[in-house]
Amino acid sequence: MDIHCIVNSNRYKNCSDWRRFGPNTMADDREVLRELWDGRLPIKFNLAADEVASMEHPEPCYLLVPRQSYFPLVADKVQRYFLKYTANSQGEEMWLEYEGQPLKWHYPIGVLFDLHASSTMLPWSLVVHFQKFPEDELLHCPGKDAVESHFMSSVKEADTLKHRGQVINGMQKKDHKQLWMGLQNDKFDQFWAINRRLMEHGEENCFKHLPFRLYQADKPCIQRLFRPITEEGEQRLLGDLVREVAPQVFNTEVEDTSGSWKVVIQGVEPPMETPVQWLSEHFSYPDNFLHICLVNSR
Amino acid sequence: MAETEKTELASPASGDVGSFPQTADQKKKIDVLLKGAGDAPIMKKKKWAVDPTKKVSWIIEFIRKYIKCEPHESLFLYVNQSFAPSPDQEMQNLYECFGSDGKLILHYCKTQAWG
Amino acid sequence: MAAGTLTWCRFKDEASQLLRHSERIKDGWEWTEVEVDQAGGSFLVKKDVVRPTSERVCVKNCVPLDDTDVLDVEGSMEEADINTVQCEVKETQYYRYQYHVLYSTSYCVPVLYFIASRPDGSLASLDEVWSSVPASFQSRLQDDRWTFLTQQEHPVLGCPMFQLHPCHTATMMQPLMQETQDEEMGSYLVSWLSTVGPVVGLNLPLSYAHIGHVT
Repeated sequence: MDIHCIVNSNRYKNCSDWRRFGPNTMADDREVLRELWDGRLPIKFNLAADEVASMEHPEPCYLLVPRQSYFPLVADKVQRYFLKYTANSQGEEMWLEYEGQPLKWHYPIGVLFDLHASSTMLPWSLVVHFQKFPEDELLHCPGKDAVESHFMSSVKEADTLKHRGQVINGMQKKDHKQLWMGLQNDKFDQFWAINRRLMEHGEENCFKHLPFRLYQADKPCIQRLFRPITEEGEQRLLGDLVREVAPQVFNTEVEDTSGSWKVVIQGVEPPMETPVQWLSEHFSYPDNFLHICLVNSR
Repeated sequence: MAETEKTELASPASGDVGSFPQTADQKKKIDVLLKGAGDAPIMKKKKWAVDPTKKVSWIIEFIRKYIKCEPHESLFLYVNQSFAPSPDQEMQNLYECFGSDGKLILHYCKTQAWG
Repeated sequence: MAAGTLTWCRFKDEASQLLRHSERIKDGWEWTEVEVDQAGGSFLVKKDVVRPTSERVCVKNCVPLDDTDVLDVEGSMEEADINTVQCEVKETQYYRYQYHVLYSTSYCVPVLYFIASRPDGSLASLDEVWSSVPASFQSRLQDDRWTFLTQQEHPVLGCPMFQLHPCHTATMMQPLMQETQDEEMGSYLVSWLSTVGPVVGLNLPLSYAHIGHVT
């Protein structure tokens, strides 16, 4: 089986690639954007044992999925394949689980992996369910419209934080549609033709606020207002952000029995000296948010 | 403030702003002044006499047709310049709570998209 | 502040005003603090609002029923003349609603979240919620429901709830704020809630209109 995925991203662990200060042109770092866009995860899907209604137990289903995408966009095959082995006559919604953890379809696939399974062996092994939908934990996904709505809502919110919404609101409906279609159809150029406008930072050399969300297992995600530069005009770094939003990562005074923390974005651990403005422009997911996972490295 | 002729508020469906047929037990109508807020179009006739049992939703429909609101535009009505009464509130109620100097002032806002 | 928006401080102040009035008239609003000292980390909650939720069927879209059919309210209400659309109201059930009013630090406006539970305790679906939006707002809903009212994660509690999208709130509130000085306007929160609440079954008693005004 062909496994690309996050192994590629080890290239970017080298600090010297990252020390860029001051404005960057999109052309310089386009390679990073392309590498991240092409990132794939190999997944092994298994039907929940207690939901198998046929005599024959189904073989697992393997898929190589884009890190940047969402499960409802890529898992139709999986649903069709397993449905015939179940007693599903009510049209129940498929949902996925990893080691007892229901997976939130509205998080990008790469975020789910980094948050829940970053130290697991590949392929990533998931359980497919059609019964007992955990509606107190998971949003329903009535169809691709729901994914599009969620995606566009994040894009708009991100632009509101970066540019007071001026860029996204200044676009036509067809531009919004192009962003969505670019993501859905895995078309990098189509997507970035529009997205580059959302990544421009005008005369101020940075965004007004940084669109980011910080995740820890078993806790609601954290989103705060954070400016990418200081009052004095200095670039703020990833370490500054983490220190402000999740100080326990650096809190070495307290005896932390649960072990130390890894800060993972797009499957890699960027150095704490990386400017957040650069990260926002290059390491955001297609929804324009920087999704940061705090993972326990025990 | 220009004194405009008070006009009986006709049913939206009729499209004809005229007077109602007078009935013997005609309810005492409420004097309403409709004012546009923000960039909402100003109505030529602002003063109206309204049946006290008419609801907010009915007035909204009337204004929508009068100022030619597009289907995708929303229209909201406010009392006290700031509070949107629920659509099934009756004029009589609003007048009793917010009327002054013998009339009820209602502000209306038109907006493209909202939420 | 950008036009049509409010600060976290003002949100908190006006929430206090609202709570005082609610207490006076026993309207049931409470303040919940989860992330103390964080902008947006505390919010208003109103529980146990029982609301008749009818399934509405447009006569022209009636389909024959059998025992296991679920009535699907799909038909759009055409022709802007809302007042005269023929609608047959099917069985009325009583759903239990819970409303949360949060502050969005991204948009600098309040946001309305809610959950609706069926009589058997299970959560209402998005379709049920859409079909329970009052007739006078249905044309707006049909226009672009996916940008209007959808299921989202509660930003503080993390649980699934329905949300009225906040991206146009500032635009909607701006004309109102334009007309008045701060002191005259009374409460932004009350103005906003009285406008959007009725869409999802939350109707504020008229007495709230006096909040923040010097009588």
